[in-house]
This record gives sequence, structure tokens and C-alpha cells, in this order.
Amino acid sequence: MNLSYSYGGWDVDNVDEVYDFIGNAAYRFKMGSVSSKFLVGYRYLSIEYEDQPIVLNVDVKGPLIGIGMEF
Amino acid sequence: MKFAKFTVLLVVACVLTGTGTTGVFASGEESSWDDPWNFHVNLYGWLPDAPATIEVNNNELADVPEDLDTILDSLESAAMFELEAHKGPLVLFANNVYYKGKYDENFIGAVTGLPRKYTLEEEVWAIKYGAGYKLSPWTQSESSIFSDLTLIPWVGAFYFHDDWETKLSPAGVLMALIRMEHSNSTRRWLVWAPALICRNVGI
Repeated sequence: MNLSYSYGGWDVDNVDEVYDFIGNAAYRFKMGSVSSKFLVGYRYLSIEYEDQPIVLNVDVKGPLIGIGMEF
Repeated sequence: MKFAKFTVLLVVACVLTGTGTTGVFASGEESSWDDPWNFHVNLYGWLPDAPATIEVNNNELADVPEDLDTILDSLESAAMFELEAHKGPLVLFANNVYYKGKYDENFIGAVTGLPRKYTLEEEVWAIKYGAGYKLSPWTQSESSIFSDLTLIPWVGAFYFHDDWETKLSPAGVLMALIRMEHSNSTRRWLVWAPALICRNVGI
């Protein structure tokens, strides 16, 4: 299981705040000699951009699935 | 026409990991600088909603409910992957999301009664990259749960690029606004803001 949380922004390049949360669970298996995994999880990314007079808020959120390899 | 292109300096963040013991770097194990390089590649599909609001002078100009159906319908290409390189307690990583889509919608203007077509083309890059350091402060813990946890504080950067183009046809009033915009390139938002208003109000 993996949980990742990021925070940033601080008005650099007019970005007030960025949040990024990723949580996933993995099922590990061997594909030949390669350590592999299936991933299922959820990601939430929020960006608040402000360059007066414009303010843009974007929330991108939803499930994710994937496959991974380690070598 | 480009909108909202910016880079973001991040971040102080952390990763809390607890996994089984089959991985080369199973959580809770002590990492050593003598360990060989180990690489992780994850390919994934992210199926998000992406609602956005746009305010100008503290007035909400547009509320774009870009849901998953819309995103999938308009999808032209996408790529999402994550790369990690581990060396002892050091972790280098990059997480990349690319999306390109084109959405159009036909509707009848509520005011003019004329058929309209609204088109939105969008290309998005979201790249997060950085370096972290594995800590296993609970390795000596008696608890079987906490002994499997690894904390990875990391610092990095986030690059976000969003390139929009909106069109409304027949153009009518919008074309006049676009010509105004062309006379003042610093006010690029004048192009897409009226398009969103026309689309949402149904002019």
C-alpha cells in the first residue's frame, strides 16, 4: 500500500496552492524473473492559480489502475 | 491560443509506504548505500473528473463541469507513467500525465435561436519530479504494523502546462471580442471567457 501527499505553490509562478494525494494498493507477482505488480488507487490533484484579475481553480480526481515492474 | 501555462516550485511532502515483503525494497527494511540501483516503472490509467472554476475580478465567470464522460468522449491521446530509481535510502522519481482532447457540442442559442457549435481543444502536461530519502523510524518497533512503514520525505517540483483553445461558431459577437483581444495580447483570457459565457448562457 502506498500513500503520497504533496503540497506546494507559495505563489511561485502565480500558483497559490497545489495539493496532490495519491493512494494505491498493489498486488505483487513475478512475471518471469521480473518483480511486477497490479495497482489500484485514487488520485486527487488540486491547483489554484491566481494572476489578478484571473483566478483558476482545477480539481482533478478519480480512480487509477495500472501495472508496474521493478528491475 | 495558450492559456495558463506555468511551472510550480514545490514542495515538502512525504510518502508513507507499507507493503508486503516480496519487493526488492520491502518497507521496513534497512536500506544501504551499498545496495544496487533498483528501478520501478509504473504505467497507469487515471480516470478523473476535472471540474474547474474561473473567476475574474472576484466574479465567477465559468464553472466547467468537465466530468469523466466528457473527458473520455473527447480523448485523443493520453500517457501516464511513473519512474522511480532507488539507491539505498535515496529515491529519485518522476510522475507524468499527458492528455490531449477535443470536445465539441452543438446547441441552439436560447437568445438568438440559432444553431451554435462550441469546440474546446485542450492539451495538458502535469509532471511531478523530485528526490526523497527513506526513513524507517519504526523498524525497531514491536508493532507489526508500524515496523512495515517507511516514511519518505521528498522535495521536488511540479510542472503544469494547460493549452486551451475554444471556438464558438457562428462567431457573431465573439469574433468582435477576439479581434479586440488580438489588439492586446496580454488579455488572452478575453478569447475564452466569452466563449464559455456564450456556451453556458446559451446565446
